[in-house]
Amino acid sequence: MPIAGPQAWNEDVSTVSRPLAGLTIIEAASKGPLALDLALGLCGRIAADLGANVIRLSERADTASDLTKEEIAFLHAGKKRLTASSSQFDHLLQDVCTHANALLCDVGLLDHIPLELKLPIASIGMSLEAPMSGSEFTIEARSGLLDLVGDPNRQPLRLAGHPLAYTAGTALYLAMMMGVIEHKAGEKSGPKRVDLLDIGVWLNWKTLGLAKRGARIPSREGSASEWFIVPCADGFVALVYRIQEWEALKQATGDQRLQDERFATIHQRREHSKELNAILSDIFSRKTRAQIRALSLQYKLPLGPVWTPAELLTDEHFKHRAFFHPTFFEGQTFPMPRLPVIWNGTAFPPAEQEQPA
Amino acid sequence: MKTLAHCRVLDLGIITAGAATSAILADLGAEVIKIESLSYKDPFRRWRGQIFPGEHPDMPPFFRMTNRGKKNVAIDLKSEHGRQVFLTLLAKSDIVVENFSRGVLDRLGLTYEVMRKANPEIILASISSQGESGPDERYVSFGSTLEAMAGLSALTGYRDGSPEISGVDYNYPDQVVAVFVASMITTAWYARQQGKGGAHLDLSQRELTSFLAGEAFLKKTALARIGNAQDHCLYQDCYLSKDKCWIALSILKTDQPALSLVTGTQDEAGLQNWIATHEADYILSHFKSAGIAAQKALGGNAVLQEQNAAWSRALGRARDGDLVKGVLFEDVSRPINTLSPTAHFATDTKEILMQIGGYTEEEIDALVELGAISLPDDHKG
Repeated sequence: MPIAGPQAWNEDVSTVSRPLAGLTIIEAASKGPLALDLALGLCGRIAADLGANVIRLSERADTASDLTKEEIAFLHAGKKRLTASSSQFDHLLQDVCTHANALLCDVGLLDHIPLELKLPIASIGMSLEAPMSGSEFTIEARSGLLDLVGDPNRQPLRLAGHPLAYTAGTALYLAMMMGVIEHKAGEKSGPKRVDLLDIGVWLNWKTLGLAKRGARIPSREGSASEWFIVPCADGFVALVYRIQEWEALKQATGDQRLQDERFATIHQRREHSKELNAILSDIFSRKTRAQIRALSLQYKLPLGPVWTPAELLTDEHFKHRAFFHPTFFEGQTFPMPRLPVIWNGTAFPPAEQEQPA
Repeated sequence: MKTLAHCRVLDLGIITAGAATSAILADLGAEVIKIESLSYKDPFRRWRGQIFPGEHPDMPPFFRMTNRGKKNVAIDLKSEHGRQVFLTLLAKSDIVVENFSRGVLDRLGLTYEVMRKANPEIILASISSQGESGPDERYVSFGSTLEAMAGLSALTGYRDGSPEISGVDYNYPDQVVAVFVASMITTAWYARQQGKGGAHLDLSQRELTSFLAGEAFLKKTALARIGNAQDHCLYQDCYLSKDKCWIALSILKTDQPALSLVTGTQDEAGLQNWIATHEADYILSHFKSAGIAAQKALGGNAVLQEQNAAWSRALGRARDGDLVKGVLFEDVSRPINTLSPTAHFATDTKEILMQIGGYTEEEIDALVELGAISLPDDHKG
């Protein structure tokens, strides 16, 4: 169903009709690695946005953890937050679980859960070998993901934010939903387990699939990469295209230099990639990001103007899709990204922050 | 795991985002039927020409790794007869996954409204670059396009450098979207079981990429690229050891006494120098003994060597022994399913049309004659 514009959005502010309405989910975090707390937090945030009543139980107050206030606001929108000392934690956990439909926890807490609790459990650890130690960054290093980004003559580079912890949090949500579905169907099942390192390796499947077959193993190539970023007139653009876009790229730029026979075939373009990339860099250095966006739309090119988060807050496309919602937290109003799904034409804005109990 | 054992998926997904979503559903026990046609096969079959000696030219590794556990049916959706075959199957299915460019399903006459008429309970997952509406609706992308457009690249990079993308070999947004979409589909499946009916899920990869960097939008001040550093760490970076290994270190503020004990220094220049004068294994053993997070930044071969020691389920074997994508999680009380190998083009057309669509052999022959469906080469008279 086409949406005419922002005014046409059906924003479901109540949680009653959301898909997980009626479910109570416990998100329990011990004093383990921050990456596990981030994954648990994201998993609970997804569930809360989908209508579940999410109760977060933590051994340390969020304000005393290593999370930034923005991370706390982003992750814990719409949750009830409880903090308990180590001596009270087990009792409180058992208490809140009694009437819950699912439990999310780190693997360090699995031994604290009484066997008589029959609710679905989705747990998360760092790796098989060391489930409660390490960091998101060292797990990215161990999964090979760091080796893929950056300049070959400089140190390996991480992607910004928490891509691994949040992917793991999304996988944890999937595991939890499987437990809930099985439980509703009366099926017998055990705790589900996600590990950050396995998720990192899963994300890196292309490299490992090639390595296993004895092929050239991908590693970071910097400016010699097939896709790379170059400066443009007012910022940067990611030059992303494949063989099928070559003709459109030539047409869109209208630059005679790209007609040179050195670039006639994919093999020739690879052979002369340095010269080709220098020409493309020159072409795009004179175009603004808005011009590049327009060209990409017109010629169906997958070029990526680099927008900053601040710029995206006023991006017309995001405005049209009502992607940001003003959300009140600790005396301030933040532009909160909503869950990235439109469900039968309905967006689910994040709930206002609950204050710690 | 057979949780979705009674769930049938029509998979129009291609390359990674769509095809990997359906592969996850197959892991969870769903019957996944991949639909291609002679005129439009999954472009992953021709990706970068990665064909290895002895392998079928239509079945390169990336395609096999992403399409294991599925059946394969050939229907030409551009033909009216093919479209009717698709709708007949859809009436007996539960989920459709698609990630075509926007406008393709409209042109095929297969909108959500048409699908819902054929099956009011259908769940349609529409995975797109930018979503189903908005001024950038028709923007095409690969994963790294979205890193740039979603705000992630602007924050990724060395302190003194340009923005960076994950690139063609990682292509982060294309991987994570499959996990998220499978999560939303199973949520819709749960909701349907609770009597909430079918659903159309409009899933924008650009929104997901922004959402997964969500806290960046809450910052009041402009963010800069800070290399490998993170707010909660005193120091976090990769440092080169004497034997030329990159050592990834996360040193928390609370690790300062331990850092001092191990290296005799508390500043980053001293740390860098200490690492440069010691061998990697020595460094790792000392940091680990001190409770500081440290690892070598591994390349592909070294990661593989750690299978079953440090990780286990991310890659698996299909029943024919082929190396394929593994699973995202395990149920500790159940074995992980072994998946059927990737089916060749059109392998299951006849069986699926007869068993699910109720077509007779004569009707199938007629549909082949019309070009509406295809059979594998060895089925042709």
